[in-house]
Amino acid sequence: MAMLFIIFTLAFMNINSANIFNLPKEINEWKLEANTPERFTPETLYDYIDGNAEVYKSLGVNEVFVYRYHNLDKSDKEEIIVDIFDMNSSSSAYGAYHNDIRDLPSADIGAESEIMSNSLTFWKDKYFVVITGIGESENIKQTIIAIGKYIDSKIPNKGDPPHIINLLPKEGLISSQIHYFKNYDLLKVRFYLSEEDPFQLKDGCEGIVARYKLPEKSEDFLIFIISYTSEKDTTNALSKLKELCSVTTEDQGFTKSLSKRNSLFFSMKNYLVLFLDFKDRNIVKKYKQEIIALSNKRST
Amino acid sequence: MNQTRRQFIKTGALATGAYLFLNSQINSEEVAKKTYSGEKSRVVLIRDKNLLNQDGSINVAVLEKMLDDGIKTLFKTDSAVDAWKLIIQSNDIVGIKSNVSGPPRTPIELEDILKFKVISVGVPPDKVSVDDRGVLRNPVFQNSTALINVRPMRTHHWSGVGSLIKNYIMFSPTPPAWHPDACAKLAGLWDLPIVKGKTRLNILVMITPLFHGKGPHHYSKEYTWNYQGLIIGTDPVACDATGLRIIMAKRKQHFGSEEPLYIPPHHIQIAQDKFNLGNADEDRIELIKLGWDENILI
Repeated sequence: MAMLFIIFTLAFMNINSANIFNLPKEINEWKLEANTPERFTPETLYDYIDGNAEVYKSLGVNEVFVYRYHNLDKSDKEEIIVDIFDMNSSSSAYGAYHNDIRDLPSADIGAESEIMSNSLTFWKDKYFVVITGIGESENIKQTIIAIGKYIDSKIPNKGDPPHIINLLPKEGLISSQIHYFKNYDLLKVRFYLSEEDPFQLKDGCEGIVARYKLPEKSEDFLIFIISYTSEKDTTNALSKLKELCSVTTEDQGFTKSLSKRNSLFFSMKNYLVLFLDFKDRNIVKKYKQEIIALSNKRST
Repeated sequence: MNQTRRQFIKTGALATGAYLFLNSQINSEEVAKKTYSGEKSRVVLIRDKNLLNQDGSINVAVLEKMLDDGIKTLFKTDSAVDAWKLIIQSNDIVGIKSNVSGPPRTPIELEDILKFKVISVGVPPDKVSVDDRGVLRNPVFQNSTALINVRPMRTHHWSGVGSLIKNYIMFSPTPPAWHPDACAKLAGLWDLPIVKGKTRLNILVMITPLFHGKGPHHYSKEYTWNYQGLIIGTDPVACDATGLRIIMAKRKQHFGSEEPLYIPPHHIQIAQDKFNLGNADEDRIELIKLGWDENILI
């Protein structure tokens, strides 16, 4: 009997999950292809978006729901694809959204959004949503926005970005270039530091990397902030970072090894902070003091 | 024309003894290398303003003519058939490595034409195959003696641009292992036993290239344009470097200033500097431009 109950409950949850957004069957001249979405797990996501799946897997994606709309008046080539990524947490949804540079206008949808002529991207709560139009229909953008607003209305909670972004100083921050990560696999594709993980990231860790530009001082540098689950892990990571930044390794000929890049790093409680590629050490020392002050303010 | 070609691909009716005789005299891999060994790499950029129909579909006859003219110029032969006979022998087992990711993907029309051309020089239909993600499980690719590499250029959020060099990542059992440092070492793929030394022709499809992208599909139509070109060569690095120059020129035109790619496409330069796979430097490429030159960008 108990087993029957469990099976019934799981089946019910499954149906609810699949229909969680219950998208409109028709919107403008666009018709929903199927009421139930295609679904992809972390194991099958590669089949859908090829190597791009690695981004969302590394951030802990739980499942992806894909809906498709077709224009009733046009050929099959016209399509609106609605991808809803359940990222498990709002931090990871933030991370999925900020994996790309976000420098285009907002659509005032979700917690943060970006609109282009044929696509809309936003995150809200634990969801990362991408609506992509393929075709020439004049109403494609309006339809995309309408679908986005509908999904937005179905997600009651806004969600919070990762707490560590509050430790970033504002001056010189390129807000469109703040990236969130949970492991080194994702980070080292774009911000290569060394073959082995210099931050010793493991379950429960999270980090951000942000770009800073101070044109009047010809500065263009990166700040990494990583949050650990214990001070012991932070200390261990600091030791590894010191080693990699001090030991001269052979230049591999593409991105320079850490020992040949200007770096400044320190730890504070459960946080590790690394400044990289600055020109003037005195400038980043001021940033260091500001980060410590922001951390203390957060603690009190 | 298309119907005839499909029928022909199925039957392989035109395999001839003459081709067999000629091909037995030639080491086609060496012929292919001759367009870039030593000094400059010869690359053909061919465009046609009539390639795309008004509805955006491909005019197959125009596409085939572009390929014929391009390969004839590349190998300096009197006819396209002569050029194909130089690089493919009738006893070859030919894998056509396509790319279905996208949009844009490798046009199916181009896949069909290439298959037709290979069969035309005497390769039996069951010894030629077009594939992308299934290459490691495909018997033709497993036993291939010759490869044709064909894909569209588009920006890519692991490697800066999806390139001909990168197109061989599906020959690796562990594609993510090639991702670190913006896929810096992708040229190493070309040393995998299943591909090493087999590539006879590279075609970088520049029909509607993607010059900017974001998100899981990395696609927005507003960041494509009707360039209507093909870049053809035997040196994948030279073809990629040429395609990249066009992408960068388009970004400058679109954004109004130099706009570096978000992910540096340094795997192309590294393919030259560290792997000696081919030539990336502009002064090491002999670029031959054919056809429509309006807004050619380079």
